[in-house]
Amino acid sequence: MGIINFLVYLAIMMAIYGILSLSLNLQYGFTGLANFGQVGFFCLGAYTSTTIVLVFKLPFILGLLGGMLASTLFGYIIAIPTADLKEDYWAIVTLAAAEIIRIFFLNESWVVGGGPYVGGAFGVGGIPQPLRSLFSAYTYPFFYLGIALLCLLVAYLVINSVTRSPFGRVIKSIREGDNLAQAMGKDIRKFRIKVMALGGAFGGLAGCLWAHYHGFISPEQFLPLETFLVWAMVIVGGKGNNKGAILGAVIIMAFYNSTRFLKDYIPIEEVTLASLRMVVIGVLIVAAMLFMKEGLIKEKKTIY
Amino acid sequence: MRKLTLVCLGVFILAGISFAFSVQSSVAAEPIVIGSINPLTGTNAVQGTDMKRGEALALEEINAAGGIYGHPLKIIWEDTESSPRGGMDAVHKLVEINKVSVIIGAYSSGVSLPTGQWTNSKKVIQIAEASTSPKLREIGPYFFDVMGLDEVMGTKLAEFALESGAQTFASITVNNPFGIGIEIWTEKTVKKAGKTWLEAVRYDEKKTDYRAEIERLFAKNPDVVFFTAYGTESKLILKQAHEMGLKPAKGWYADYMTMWSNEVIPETAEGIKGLVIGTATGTRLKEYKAAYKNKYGAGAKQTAFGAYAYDATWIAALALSIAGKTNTDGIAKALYTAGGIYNGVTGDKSFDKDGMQVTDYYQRMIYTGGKLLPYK
Repeated sequence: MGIINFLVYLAIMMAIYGILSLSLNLQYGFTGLANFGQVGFFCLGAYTSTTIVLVFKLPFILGLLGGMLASTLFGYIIAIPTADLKEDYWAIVTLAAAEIIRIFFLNESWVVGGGPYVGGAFGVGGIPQPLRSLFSAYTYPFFYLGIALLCLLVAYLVINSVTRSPFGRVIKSIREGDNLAQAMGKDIRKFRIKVMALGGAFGGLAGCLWAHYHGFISPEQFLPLETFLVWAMVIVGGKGNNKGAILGAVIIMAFYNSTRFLKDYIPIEEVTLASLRMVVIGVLIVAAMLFMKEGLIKEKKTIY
Repeated sequence: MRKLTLVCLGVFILAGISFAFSVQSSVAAEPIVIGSINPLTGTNAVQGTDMKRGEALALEEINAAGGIYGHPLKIIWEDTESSPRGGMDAVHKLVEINKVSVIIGAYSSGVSLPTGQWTNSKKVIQIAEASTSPKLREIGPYFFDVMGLDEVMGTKLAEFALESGAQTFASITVNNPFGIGIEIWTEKTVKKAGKTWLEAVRYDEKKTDYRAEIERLFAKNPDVVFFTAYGTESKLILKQAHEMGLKPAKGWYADYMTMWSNEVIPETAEGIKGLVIGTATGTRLKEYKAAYKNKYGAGAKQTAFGAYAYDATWIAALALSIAGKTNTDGIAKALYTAGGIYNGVTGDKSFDKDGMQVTDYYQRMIYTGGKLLPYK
């Protein structure tokens, strides 16, 4: 039973990070936008949903929609002044934007209701879980897994249909360089803004799911390092391929957790193994970039 | 597709083998197994490594003394990676796979709060060693803490500073639950004493310049400044304040002085008064330090937290011995007894009704001539 519960927990994490990975894949894998601030959407979705459900006492579904809407707007707003920037500048701007979001929640505790030891650096606890009272402590993770998988499926279907549509063809052409899309009369600026907004929506969705599953959020959960974890998922899985993005999330999360078990039967000092795990994960990413430049599942090339 | 299938198979085989081995070891194990979560990697790895060493030292002593009613004690250490996500991964593994009834940890309230909420929902005991947010009090009956919450340290530090006769106060603290907790309780105590609170400055870690924060701190010329900082930041803040010629008339007052006493430039910290944990000159701490040096060598870096981890391990072992079983309700009850009878390296470890420390022992110290000396 314990193993199943652990696998359910792992599957929930994979689903949440799978959504984040799909979102980044849309921005980077399909459009070429080097978003180094993916965690900003994650953070904003988590805090917005928490505020709606915890402070305003509204249903979870409204929290979910509110979190997605806030992240959509955030993606839209940061893309407006930056849509013309080149890739490296885009990376710096998005990294800074995500930090602004985190620092805002670090310093503005009133957003989540305020009060002694609530919000700001203290984080927010007691975040309600949807329909929690209907399940026992042991069955609830299965229900939440259902919600997470449903959200993952929706994210996959939406992003997949977008990338297969004429819109998708344009963003792929933007990824290969601005000239082609411009020559065809496309306003690349508008496409970039729309991609950031749509990607933001799903980044926010992942944040909502994270917050309501763990029941606690704090700004230190949304450090830039989390963005690079999602980047690793996209790179290892295969950029420009939605199945690859999900596979990347599955592999990285499985790797992170399965390597914990090694020390239970290999005589190696815990501190050494802990450091080695991080090294191995780094090596895995470097190896993926060197030997599988397109990731485990290559993007399907379509000739039009 | 073939490559993909192989990769998927590989991942699940790795996971499967790992789970199988873990289950086998947990079922067949003779020892009584408990878990520990520490930041062995990431930004707090230095403190986490020290805490792990403190626990290992206690483990060695417990087993040398006969273990738990004849069974050796075993600790499974997990890495929190200095993050709440890593902490959650760690407790899920310890509870669901290793089936532990007791977990020691974590460092930082930001990790202890989410992990504690979850372990409490699973009726698993968690004993935090280096977490001080008063929110921990609300987690539930299976959560304990061997470190005094900020209310204890903040109040005692302010009471110390009030004895200087100062009329105006300010603080500069790190912008995290630990730092803000100290700010809140020093301010509360100062105001309760009828004195004036001028300014509360919060700073972010890992910055390369704190002059703007220092200028704001001294703008209203406070008599006393309360100061909370980790080693790197304290070195820079004190150096820059020294270069700017700014010093409070009645001095700086700092908490957990050993966090920075080995790293600051001596002349910049001359005369700082404050508190250190535990019986700094007591027999228990001397014994602990000697044993630590003997096991890990003179070069092993000690922080303020290893001793708390050591105490937490001993208290857990005592509670397991008293309970005589691994039923968590019985262990939770026994923890109150264990905390009351245990004479800790960090002082009296009695728990209040919420599983938090009734008090914490601090010794007044002064930093002078590059050393921490007892304040008289």
